[in-house]
Amino acid sequence: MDTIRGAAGPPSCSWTPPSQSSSRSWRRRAASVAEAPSSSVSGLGAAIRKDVPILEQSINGRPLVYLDNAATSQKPLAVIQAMDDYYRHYNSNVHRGVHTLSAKATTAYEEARGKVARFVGAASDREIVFTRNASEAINLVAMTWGMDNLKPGDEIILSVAEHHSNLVPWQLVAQKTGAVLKHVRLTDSQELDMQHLRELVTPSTKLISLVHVSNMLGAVLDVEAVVDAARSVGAKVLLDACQSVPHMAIDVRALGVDWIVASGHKAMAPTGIGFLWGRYELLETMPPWMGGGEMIQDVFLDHSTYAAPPARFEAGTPSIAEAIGLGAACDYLAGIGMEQVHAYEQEIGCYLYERLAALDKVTIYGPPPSAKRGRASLASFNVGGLHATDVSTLLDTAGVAVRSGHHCTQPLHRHLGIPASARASCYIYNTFQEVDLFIDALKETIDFFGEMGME
Amino acid sequence: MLAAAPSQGTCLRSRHAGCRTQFVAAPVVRPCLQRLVRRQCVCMSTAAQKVSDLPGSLQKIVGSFQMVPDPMARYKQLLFYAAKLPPMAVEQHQPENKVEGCVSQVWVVPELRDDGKVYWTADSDSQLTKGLAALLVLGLNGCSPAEILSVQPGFIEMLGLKQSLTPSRNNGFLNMFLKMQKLTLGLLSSTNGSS
Repeated sequence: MDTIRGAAGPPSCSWTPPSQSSSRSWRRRAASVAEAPSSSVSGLGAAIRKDVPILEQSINGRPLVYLDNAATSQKPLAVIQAMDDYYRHYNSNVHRGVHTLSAKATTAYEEARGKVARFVGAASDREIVFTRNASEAINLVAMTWGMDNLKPGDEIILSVAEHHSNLVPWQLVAQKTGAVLKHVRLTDSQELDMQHLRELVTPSTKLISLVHVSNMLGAVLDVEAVVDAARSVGAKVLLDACQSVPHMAIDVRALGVDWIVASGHKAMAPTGIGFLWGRYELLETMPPWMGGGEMIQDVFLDHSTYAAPPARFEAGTPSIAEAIGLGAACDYLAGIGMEQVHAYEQEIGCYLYERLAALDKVTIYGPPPSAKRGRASLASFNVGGLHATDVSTLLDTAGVAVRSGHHCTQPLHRHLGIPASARASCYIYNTFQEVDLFIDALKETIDFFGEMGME
Repeated sequence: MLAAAPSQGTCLRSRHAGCRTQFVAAPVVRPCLQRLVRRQCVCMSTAAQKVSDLPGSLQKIVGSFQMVPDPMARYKQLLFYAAKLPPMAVEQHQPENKVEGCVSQVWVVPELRDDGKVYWTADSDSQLTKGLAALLVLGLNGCSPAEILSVQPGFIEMLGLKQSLTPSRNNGFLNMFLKMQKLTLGLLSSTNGSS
């Protein structure tokens, strides 16, 4: 199987500073921040581990090596305790209650919104819409802005590398509105091809929706180039920031896009909470999607008036505990500092890539760590002659948790000509020793199949 | 009496998960008008199928797996079975033979021979999955359709392969087994239709 490899030349670990600046004012305002661990970047993993209780366990008699963070992250005690505290002491429905518990819950819920807003550099907390996850956030934009604005022949530009959640909603909208979908290809180094993007953009382009950091390739998008191309024709830009928000400092105003989406559970927050950030003037133009309580102003029997954003898009009782958990996660990560987080991840990601690349018969997808904008601290790979599922099943017997399959990127795998891939993805609590354990287990796995006569 | 392929789900009567609901045909004068009349709930927990009730070929496989002490040895056993599986012609890699819900690609093809028994070929691009398919092939080869349809999925747990019985999209092994039962039923109805 002739597989595509990243850019020629040996990988070299040169740390590239994060390309987005971040606002530091939240540091002073972040309330109840967990004690920031030791500032030495290379010791960060070991220090954070102490805060994450789930990591101390054995799988099949071997220590758990959790390398499936791109799928979901583990939670620090501070987040677990924040949710426990909410249910123990002040659980109550938010927004309309006058009694003490309700006031406390509402304050905590809205404070969480503020924390998220500061975490991404939003102009105001009114620009953060809580959703169940990033998938719901993309569907929200598709079903409101998309359905309202797209006409037959209008173009939506996506890419071959998108997660299904940034493909399927647009397919549904295109079917209903007659809009046309176009897809950016990859460069030889397996990043999104900006030259191709510029060729695809026409005056009919209304939206460019792309992944910021690919959950499979690890490639980092040239956001500036995308925004330039979009503005040249007056198109909007949506950024799928699921793999960037948890791992680097994000400043939505510096990025210059119109919406970003992210899921809490990939950023040390609970499942069931994510958010859409949108420029306020844009959110104001978007009609409601889900109707019900909270999103209204006045309700009559045959019509209603609607609330301003973000409430307009938050019908019914929200996931209050989860939102509070997300706020606590923002505090925790902000307490470490996202530049620290990013620096550590570049180091450990580079180490992971180099150790994998040194193995015979292993192909890694995406650009090398020396690429201009770096790459994520994950590696999707295949071992020649073995199916990814076989590799990950055997790795599990050694306590190593990686993911195998198509990682919700079937078109990308088809584009690369592979049926599946295995993926190891790090986060701030993984250590270099764990990467070593993973590589050792992978070698054992390859030997095991070799002995059984599978080459 | 013809039993339709069992369906998984939660029994409404007993609320046991994973119960199998069997449709039993009422005897009628004209066999081509078989009506599926009575619905029996065969609760897994109160009527778990004993190993001794399984077809002999499957009993052997379950027995040999139960003797294997640790996961690595069980995987070795699977790979051994995979290597023993006769190859399947590429032309048989057709959608109607494909098992849905596997991350790897799996195909199974039945053949009803003159002795009235079903013989299987299977293939997969993943070695472990091929081993699981081989296990089922070895276990159900040379069985009559009635025998195959009488097997309850509970034996999967006895293998100690950490394969769950939850009928979810990702449960390849269960889906493989259910596909084989569905294909067997298909063989039966096509032979009944032609007689």
